[in-house]
Amino acid sequence: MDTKWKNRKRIISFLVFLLGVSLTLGSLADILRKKPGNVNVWELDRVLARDYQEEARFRAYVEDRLQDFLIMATGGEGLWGFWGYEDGTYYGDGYGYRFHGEYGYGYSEFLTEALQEEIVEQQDASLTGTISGEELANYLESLKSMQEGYLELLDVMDNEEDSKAREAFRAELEIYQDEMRNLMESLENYLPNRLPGEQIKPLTDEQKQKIAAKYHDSIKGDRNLLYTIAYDGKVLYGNYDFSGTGSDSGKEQDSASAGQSDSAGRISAFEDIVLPEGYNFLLYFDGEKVRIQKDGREVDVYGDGYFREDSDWYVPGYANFQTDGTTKKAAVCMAVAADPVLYTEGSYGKGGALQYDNSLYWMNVNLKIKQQSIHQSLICLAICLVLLGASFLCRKSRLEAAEGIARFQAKIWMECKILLFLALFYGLFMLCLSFVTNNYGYGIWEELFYAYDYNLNYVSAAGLGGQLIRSIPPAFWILLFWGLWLLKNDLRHNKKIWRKSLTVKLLDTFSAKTLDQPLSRKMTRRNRSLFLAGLLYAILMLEQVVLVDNLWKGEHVRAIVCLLAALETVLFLTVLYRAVVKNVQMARDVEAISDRIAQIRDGDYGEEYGDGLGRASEPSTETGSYSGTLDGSTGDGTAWAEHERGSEPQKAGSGHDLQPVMDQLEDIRHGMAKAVDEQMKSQRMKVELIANVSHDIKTPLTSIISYVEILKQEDGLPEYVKDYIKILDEKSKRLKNMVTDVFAVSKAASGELPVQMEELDFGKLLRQTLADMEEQIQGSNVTFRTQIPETPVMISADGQRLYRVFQNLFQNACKYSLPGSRVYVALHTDGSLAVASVKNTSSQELEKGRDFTERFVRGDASRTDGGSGLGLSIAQSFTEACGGEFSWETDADLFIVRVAFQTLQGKPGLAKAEAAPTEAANP
Amino acid sequence: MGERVLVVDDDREIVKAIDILLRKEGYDVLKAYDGLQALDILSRETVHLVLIDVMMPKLDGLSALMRIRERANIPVIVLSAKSEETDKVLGLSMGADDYVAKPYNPQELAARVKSQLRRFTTLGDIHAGTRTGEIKNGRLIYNTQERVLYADGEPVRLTATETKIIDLFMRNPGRVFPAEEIYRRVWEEDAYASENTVMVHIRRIREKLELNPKEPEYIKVVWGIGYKMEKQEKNH
Repeated sequence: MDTKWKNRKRIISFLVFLLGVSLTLGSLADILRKKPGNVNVWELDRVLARDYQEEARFRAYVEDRLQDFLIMATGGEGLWGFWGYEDGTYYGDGYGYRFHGEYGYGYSEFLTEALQEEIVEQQDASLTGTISGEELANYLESLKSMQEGYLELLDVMDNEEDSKAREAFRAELEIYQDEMRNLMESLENYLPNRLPGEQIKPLTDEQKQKIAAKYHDSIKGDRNLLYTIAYDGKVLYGNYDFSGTGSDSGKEQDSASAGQSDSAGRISAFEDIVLPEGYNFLLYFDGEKVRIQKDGREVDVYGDGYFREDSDWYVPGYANFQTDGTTKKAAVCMAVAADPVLYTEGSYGKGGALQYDNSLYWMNVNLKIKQQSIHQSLICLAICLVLLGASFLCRKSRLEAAEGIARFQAKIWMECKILLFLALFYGLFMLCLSFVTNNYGYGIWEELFYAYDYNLNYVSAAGLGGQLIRSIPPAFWILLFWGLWLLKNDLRHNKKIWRKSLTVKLLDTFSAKTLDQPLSRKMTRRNRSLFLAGLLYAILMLEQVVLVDNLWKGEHVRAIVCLLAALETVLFLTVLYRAVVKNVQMARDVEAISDRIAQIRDGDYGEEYGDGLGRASEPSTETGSYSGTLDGSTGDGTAWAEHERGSEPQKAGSGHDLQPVMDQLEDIRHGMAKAVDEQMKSQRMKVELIANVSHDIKTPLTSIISYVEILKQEDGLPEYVKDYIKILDEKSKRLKNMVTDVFAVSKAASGELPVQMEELDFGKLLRQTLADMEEQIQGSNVTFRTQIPETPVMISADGQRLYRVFQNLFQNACKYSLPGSRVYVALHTDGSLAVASVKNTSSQELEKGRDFTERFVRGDASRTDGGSGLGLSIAQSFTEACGGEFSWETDADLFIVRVAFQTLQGKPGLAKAEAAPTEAANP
Repeated sequence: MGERVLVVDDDREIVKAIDILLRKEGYDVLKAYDGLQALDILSRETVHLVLIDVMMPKLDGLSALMRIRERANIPVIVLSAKSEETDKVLGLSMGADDYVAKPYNPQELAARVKSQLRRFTTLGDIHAGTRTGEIKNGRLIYNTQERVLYADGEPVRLTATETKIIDLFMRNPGRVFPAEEIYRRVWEEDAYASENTVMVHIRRIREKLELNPKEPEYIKVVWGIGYKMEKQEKNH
């Protein structure tokens, strides 16, 4: 209930605000645009008068009429708008003058039709001003005589058959003749008009009377003004009898001439005059002074008796404005209706309904209209103020409502808002354009240019601007205000007004903000928006083609379409660009990931992405040195370091589509690195243990060897003791060899064996080794058969280590071969791979499935000979440390060992360090 | 008898064994069981050679070696259970004249002691410049005019072929000669099955001039390439 009321309150308060502002703006704009009732500021006092009789223009009307009546009474000249020439037939141009109502139409108000026609003709005549008046007169004269000739001809042609047609022709000719005569007359009147002033002749009394009578005719029907004009005690003109009878004398005053002989025509004294019903204003002029009575009270006309500029009444009777002797005989009495009505005479005989002067009526009506419109404006403003005040009072809930609107606004795409604004301004532009072109017929720039050029200053341009502004309808200002208000509201309550917009949405599709979404959805969205943009683009282009083809479409439509097309092109290209950028980025990421996978596969678990992912960097200090020993395979530290250097760490910054994949991969890598690290640790501990143990063995061994040596040199020992000493000597030496071998093999196994890679000739190494061991071989009971090519077989290896490999192999061959058998040493190369093989026939039966490279494994389990049992193991470890491949196989009693190396020819262009060890496969 | 040898090792049995060994060779032996004792003896007695173990309590061998080097120029042989190449290089760079890994061959040790002492005492003037026509490399001096090789100042008896080989090597220390080249230059005929022949001679030369022919210091095989005379860093 409470919230309901609150909501309602909000809505109401906002509506009040809306209405108040709109009304205020509308009415203000309206007032500024075209003043209420067209009242200028300086007219305000008049408009605010209580009734129309208070107006200055009413007074002027009455003054003018009084003057006219006095002229009529005294037979003076210069009745306003009526003057003529000798024959009194023409009454000069008085149209449009002395017209008191504002809704009239020029002279038609009080001039008779006939007078009007004359005036029109006169105007026509004046239009033919290129030929002189005399020429025109001559021309008309010739036309006249020609027509008369025609008429005579018609009289002569007395033909029965065509009598009808003839009569029609005659009538037509006669009309023409009349017109011609009229034209002649107006020309005659016109010509003297062009003559110098002294040639104008004064009017005759008769003419004056005629004019006065015509004037009387023209105004007597307007019974809003009742009047009687008397001179020398005789009533001359009048449309009302002010003799005191109060009877309507309109009928008897119909004819002006009849008024003269009216026996009842006289004016009673001012005090005796009784105003007829509906009339409240009375003016009485007795020849000297004017007396005015309004609403039964007499008005102070003269004040202190002197006429000044600011005196209300410009009538004779002031001390400084006296009448002359002639005028003193005149008397005028006027009555004015309180509420004038429109008088029209249905004088159809003269060609239609005739409106009388009716100035008073229009005066009254106009005043009322103006007062009304001002009232309306004021009421409107008052309502506005009340509404504004009310909205101010409940501004709190109004602000809440504004917030609600802002929330709604936040849901609308920014582009829509911008489009609305653009539409508003486009409308304004069109309005201005139409205004300018309608008013002046040129373009807006030409208008401005000419306005400046012709009128020499900016004032006219400003005037044009003012007109322009005034031509804008108030609705626009209201719309503009609300547009701005909405904008302000939006900016105030919605912090990021661009957040909800088509553009941002599109950009979001391609940006990192959608990180949490799965890749497939992201890709789908991106492709969909790309497709939509393309589709829209295509549609627009097609539409444009159609529209441009249809030339009937206006310029503006085409302009809009062009604009839209440009916008859409930009949008489309943007979308396309973003998509391409993203795709390229993704391709790079994919490459980086595949590189990374390759690295991990190769056993490189370096923390390369550590920074990029913000993960605590693992203390991986010796990545290069210990990483190669996964699964017991020996690695080459330097080579690993090289490898690591070679692969640029690809930083995968946040915002990449493949970030999750990268992260997962990193997790895997992390786990593997950890496992490998642990393995390393245990391996290192093993090595350390062996190192320590071997050291601890060495020290007592040193003593043993030393004392055995001393014993050996001891003279005088019994022979059997010397035998014992010999055994001790042998065994101690063997122990020494074993310790050294164990240390070496464990080091090699843990990858800590330092190797010095160099290019060497594999064949030569084999020959050297054989030569070096020649004595031993000679001493054994096996023969060596060699098949080593003379041409160099260049490989990259550590010679010293490789020598140990073959030394061990040959020693084994000597030791374990069947006596009298042959050992075959061969080196084969296929160009890229050099394989050395040592084949011997075992003296013992070879157990199937036994791993001879396992440490301390020998052909026989008795361990009675001098070997350490590490021969094959060392050979394998060292080979692999040098980057070679060690393999062995048994075939019955045949024992075959193969040592394979990549030849340098096999991989040309590679430096020796790179020719290294990654190929080392684990058997 | 002449030379006095100071033997330093925390293992008393080893010290005793070396004592017996060296006394038989005719040396006067002083014993110490840690670095400080060794320095103490050195400050009091005249000593011609020091045999010192690396791992000892109180003051280890290498630190003691540095202290010795501050005062005396006598030859020092380092004994160590560490047989790594790096350990050897470290010991030599600290000022040791020789490095013998445990467990050592007693005869070899005696030979080394003898060699060092000969170079230090008999030759005396080891720092004097080489005479004209003499090429010096470590403990070897080759007189090009006489075509005689001296090891620790004593002439080495070589056959004519061996002398030719040594001539080639001593004139080009550090250079690696393939067997074929040696054969061509020494035997002056085309090489055929040169590897064995050359190897045989080299082995014999080694036995004549190396202290331990199984671990030669001077004439080395560069496996897979050839042979060379190792150029000694220390030219005492």
